[in-house]
Amino acid sequence: MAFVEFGLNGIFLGAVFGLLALAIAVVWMTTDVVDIATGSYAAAAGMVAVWAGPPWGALLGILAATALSGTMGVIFLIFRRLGATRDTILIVLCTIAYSFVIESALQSVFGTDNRFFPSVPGALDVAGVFLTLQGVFAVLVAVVLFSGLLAALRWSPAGLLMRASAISAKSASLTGIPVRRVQFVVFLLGGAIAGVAGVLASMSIGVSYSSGFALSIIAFSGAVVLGRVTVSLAFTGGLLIGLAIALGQAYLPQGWDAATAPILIVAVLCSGLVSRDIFHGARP
Amino acid sequence: MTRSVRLSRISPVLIIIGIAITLAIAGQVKPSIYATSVTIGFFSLLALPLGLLYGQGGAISLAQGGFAAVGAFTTAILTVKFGWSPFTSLVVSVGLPAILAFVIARPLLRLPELSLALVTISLVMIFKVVFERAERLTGGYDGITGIAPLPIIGVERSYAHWTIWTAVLIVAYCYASYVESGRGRALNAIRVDRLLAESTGTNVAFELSSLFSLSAGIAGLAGWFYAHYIGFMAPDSLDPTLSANILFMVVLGGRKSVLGPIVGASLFTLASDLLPGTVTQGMIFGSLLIVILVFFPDGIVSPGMMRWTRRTTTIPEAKNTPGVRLERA
Repeated sequence: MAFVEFGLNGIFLGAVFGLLALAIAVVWMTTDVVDIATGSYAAAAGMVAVWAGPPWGALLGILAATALSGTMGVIFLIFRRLGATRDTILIVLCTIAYSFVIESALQSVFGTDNRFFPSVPGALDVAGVFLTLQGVFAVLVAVVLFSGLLAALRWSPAGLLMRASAISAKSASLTGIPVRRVQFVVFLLGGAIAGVAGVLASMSIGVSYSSGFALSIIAFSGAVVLGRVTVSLAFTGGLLIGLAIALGQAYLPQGWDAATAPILIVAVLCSGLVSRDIFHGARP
Repeated sequence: MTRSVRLSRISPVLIIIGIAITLAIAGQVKPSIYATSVTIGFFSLLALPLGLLYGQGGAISLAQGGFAAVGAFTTAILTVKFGWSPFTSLVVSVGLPAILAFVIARPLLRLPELSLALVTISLVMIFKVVFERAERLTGGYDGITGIAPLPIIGVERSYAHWTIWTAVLIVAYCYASYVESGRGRALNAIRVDRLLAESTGTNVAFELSSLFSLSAGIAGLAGWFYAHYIGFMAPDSLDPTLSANILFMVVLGGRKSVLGPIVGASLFTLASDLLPGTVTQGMIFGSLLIVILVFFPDGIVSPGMMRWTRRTTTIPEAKNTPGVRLERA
């Protein structure tokens, strides 16, 4: 029974990581950039939400995360305008530098404490298994958001533009699609999704100014752990990472669970399970 | 050996000697400058081999800080817990990270640079957890105190200054000589096109693995020096952020020249010392990095600037040669 409870807690945690992996994946697929600042957008959303408090804090937090990712989108557009064929790793380094900026700003404004947004109170007892309503809420929000995104990508005109830009930016631009504008919108979308994840994180594990980098590494491992980068696999990968971390916390000696995500990244990438092509612009 | 090749080796050496003498003179006037100088030298020692690996070979690594931590913890454990002399522990401090890097290099270095960066930073995070949890050996979060200063150097900062800058000088000279050698040219070929380099007989896996191992060994040397200079080593002393910062130093200074990593290390250290308020430093420094990465992607000591002085060390890229394609279809 304890194993089931640990597993469910892992799924609850995985819902947050799944959204973060989703945010990294949509930006990665459309722009070729792994946005390492994604975790920092989430941390900022959580901290702004806690600062503003309910009922509007969550919305403000998500807006703050969107504004931050929009700024990164602008930096990306300037970078590409100055040299369309420049090495992508440089813009990835920009996202790391940007996460330093956000981290430092959060520390200056909100201090160093781990902060919590009021969580959904109560718990359910299902056949002897204890479920927190906060966990159920997190999973519901994550699943609704993921399904909505999937449906939008598949059936809406905007989703079609995004998919076309992701498959081939050059071909899409030849057919008249404003690829750069689409890429900017995807940065905003990624920030908004990370913002929701950040608010959910602040309701369960809490967020601090320095949470961003660790969250980004977890999100990245979620995005690649299943071998290909797609929206569905990234979300599922995030869920699995949450599960692995929760089980690690329960069964590994204390402190070793922090190594779960990095070990998964090393194991998956070095095993050759991940196609080299995903790092060179091949798209789903 | 042509005159220009001789000059391209000697001019960085002369500039480094100039920097070391200038800092020593300033240190005589204001002793705190010696501390800054040793920090610059330490960062340069970590950044130079990464400059060679990334700037010349195109293989990015975010593990330099992690390998330095391995070297530092190795000497701390051997000297404090087992009573070894610092010079005996030096062999293990350099050898252990070098061997570790060589063993893990093969699966790592075939990865594209983006994933290589993330795998190497993940390795550093794993190292940190191991240092934190192997409490019996590393002292856990509290670390190891009472690491003896190096013989002869002791706690005299001016001696530490000359020691670290001598090491920087040797590494920089070796870097410049390596780039001018046939293997250096092979390394540049690997960066431009691995398949093409392999087809011309270059053992890409061995070249990159041995260079990765060499970088890790030099990082271990820097870590060894750090542990004996500071006298204390904890998992947070050389944390994953340092590894990211070392890469920034290389990119900021100029990844394609010998002097670039040293310029980057100097600017980084001076910025940390001179920028007001430790909390707000990240904002100013991060913004500065973004501006440089966006507007000067080749760094401050870029080939364009180096061409002006005719001291570039990177072999000119094939894109300037008509009819040569850089990328495979």
